[in-house]
Amino acid sequence: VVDISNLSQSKVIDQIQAYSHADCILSVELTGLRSASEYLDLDAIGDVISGSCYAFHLVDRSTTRLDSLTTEQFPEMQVIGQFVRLLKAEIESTSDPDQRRLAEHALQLGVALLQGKEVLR
Amino acid sequence: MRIKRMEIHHFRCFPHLRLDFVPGFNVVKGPNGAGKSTIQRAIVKALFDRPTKTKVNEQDRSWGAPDLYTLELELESSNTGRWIVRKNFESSRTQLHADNGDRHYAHDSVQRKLYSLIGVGAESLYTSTVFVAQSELAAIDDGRKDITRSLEERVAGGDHGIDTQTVIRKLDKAITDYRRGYETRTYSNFGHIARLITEQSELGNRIAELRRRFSQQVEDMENRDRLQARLDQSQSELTSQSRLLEAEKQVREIRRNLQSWSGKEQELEERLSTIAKAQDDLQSAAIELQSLAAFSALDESEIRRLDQLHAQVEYLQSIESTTPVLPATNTAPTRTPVFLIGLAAVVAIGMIWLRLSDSANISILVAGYVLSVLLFAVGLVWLLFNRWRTAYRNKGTNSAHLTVLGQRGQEIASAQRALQDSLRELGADNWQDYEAKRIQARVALTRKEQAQIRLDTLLGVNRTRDQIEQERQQASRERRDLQEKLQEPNLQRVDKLTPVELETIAVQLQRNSAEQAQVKSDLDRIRFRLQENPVNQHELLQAEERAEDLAQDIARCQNLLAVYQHTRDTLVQAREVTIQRLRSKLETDASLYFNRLTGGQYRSVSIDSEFSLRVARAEDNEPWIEPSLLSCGTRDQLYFAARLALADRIFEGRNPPLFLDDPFVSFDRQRRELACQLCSEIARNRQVLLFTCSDDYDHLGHVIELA
Repeated sequence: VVDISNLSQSKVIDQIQAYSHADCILSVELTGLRSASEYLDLDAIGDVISGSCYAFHLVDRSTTRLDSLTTEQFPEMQVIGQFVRLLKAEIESTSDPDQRRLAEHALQLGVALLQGKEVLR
Repeated sequence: MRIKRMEIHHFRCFPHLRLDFVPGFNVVKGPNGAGKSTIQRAIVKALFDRPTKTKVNEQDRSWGAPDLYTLELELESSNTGRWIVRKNFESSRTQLHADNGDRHYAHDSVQRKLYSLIGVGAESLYTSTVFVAQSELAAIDDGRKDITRSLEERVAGGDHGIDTQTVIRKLDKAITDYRRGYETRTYSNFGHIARLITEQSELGNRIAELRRRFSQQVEDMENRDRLQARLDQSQSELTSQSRLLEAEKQVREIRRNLQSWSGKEQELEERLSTIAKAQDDLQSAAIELQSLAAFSALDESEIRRLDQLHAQVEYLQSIESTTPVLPATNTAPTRTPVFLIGLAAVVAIGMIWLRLSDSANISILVAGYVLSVLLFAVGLVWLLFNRWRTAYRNKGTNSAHLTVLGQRGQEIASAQRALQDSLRELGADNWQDYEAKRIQARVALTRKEQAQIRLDTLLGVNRTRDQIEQERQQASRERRDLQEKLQEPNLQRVDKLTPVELETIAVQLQRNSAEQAQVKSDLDRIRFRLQENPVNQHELLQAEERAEDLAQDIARCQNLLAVYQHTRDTLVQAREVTIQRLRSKLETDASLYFNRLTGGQYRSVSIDSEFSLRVARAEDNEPWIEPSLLSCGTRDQLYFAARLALADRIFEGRNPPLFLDDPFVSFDRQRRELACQLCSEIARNRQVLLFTCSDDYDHLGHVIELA
């Protein structure tokens, strides 16, 4: 399990490579919070790591940092843009902390799911 | 927004490259391997990547280049003017300069500004919308990709290959799994709230039972400790009391022994005293015997001789004394006259008694008195006569004896001399002295013998006085030792106890013994219960921890379920809103583009709520046609039209450059011309970058030829 919060892609690769050797089957789960602007190229990571171990399986369970999720990043005419706007509006309008927390988690989860991360357990 | 210039250093196959783009149609031409894809990748990296010196980025370094690459893009927007973004991957620096003097150096700040310029914040969003590649059309052609699905993915705005419906289905499955529960090899510990709640309930019952048993156990343990303490105390008291009684027994034993030894000592002392006395007697008898040695040494013959001699003297002396006296004349004749005198007195007393009692007449009294006088007179006369007759007889015999007496005198003197000589030899003055000394010697001998016997008796067999003395000393030592032992504090303390106190102690001892037996019994029962049915505290703690974990798991699952549900609902809502807002415009634009691409063969395109496309021919009465019924080329045209329309709508107003990666390679000549014609028209409003290896597009606009 690699917490990729505040880690660049190269650092993520370095951390994974520390566990990698030719005879191992490496199963890696990426967790933590990541900026929406940080694009983590899982294929590139897979390309680099899979050459140094017997087998490699990568699951990205990281979620996007709320403060990095701005409406400007997501076009309004896309589902993800609408999704972010709906939940942002809900987060800003609600005074119930539980409801707010729920909306925040939903926002992170939905964006992560749309970004192709296997965050569902 | 358009790209005005691109300059790259040390990127892949380009040690250095500068490309200047025109605002309209740009044809980037070059053979395979000339670097067309590299240019596309450089533009995307310049717009979205964080410049860092990583192994992934290292892969894009030019062969033999000393440093990592630098990418520079000059962007121009009618609204915001000219911008230059520069990313140095060697120094990890990002810069964004604007003509208006606006400068950004922090990566996040640069990216935020770029997002506002481009209208999209992620590489995947950008590439999935404004990039149209030949490979997409080929996938539609050969059925690997469905038009609806592909458009849905792009409308979703997520990563490549992710559409909203798929995400919603995933969420539905996850929600169902969480609600109904599921068991898989991987996720058996997650989900299944019902199972968790059941387990929680069972665990709750178990914890209650464990707590009850544990509470009982704690109580038992406390009781055990309390009883053990009581038992110890009782044992201690019992020991103390037993010791007291033991000491008391010891004292009694000592006292008995002391008494015994004292008695023995006293007896030995007395015996020694008696022995001393006996020894004294023996000694005095021996001394006396020594002084009377001659008498004690007399044998029987000598004694008999002396006795005979003395008897002879005595005989002769007796004969001498009796011869002149007449024996037996002075005794018997006096009894009768005395009797008569006594009788006269009795009669006289009887008469006096009668006279005094007046029981006899005078005659009788006279007769009585006369008789009494007569009796008295007769007795007196008789007595006087007898005396006279005796004196007469003795006078006749005395002269006859005188001669006999002379002879006998000589015999007596001779015998007396012989006796006197013998006695003188013995040391006696006379016969009485002899007799006395002989008796004295016999008495002394007897005394000596008796003293010896007594001494032998006192000493016993084979014992001496010294041995007895030693025994006495031994007895004395023993006595002293016992007395000293009695002076020991504990014995002395016990010795001071009164019988009542001792009795009290004995009673307490008995009571304590009974109590101890009861406590032991209780203790055994508790120990048995503890041993029989032990509750491991660790087990209870584990169960409680597990219960807490379960509660947390349930809460987490329920929370997660709520998050899933909310995400799903919001996604559904977002999708509906998006499609609702997009659909009509998209239909209009797609219809326009498709009509142009097909040279007016198809009138319009219809898009339903599920993003299913249908097309209508130009004739009014023709029914809607499913894309699957269209030819591959027409399907490509439909897809291309829809993509163009989508790019217009998604980036509404911003018009970022449209990247076409040789999309018309499978089109026939007529269709390609129509497509090129459409793209030329589009290039009037937005920049178009066509990447191709063909010379067919040279006439469309600015050609950039790669060597």
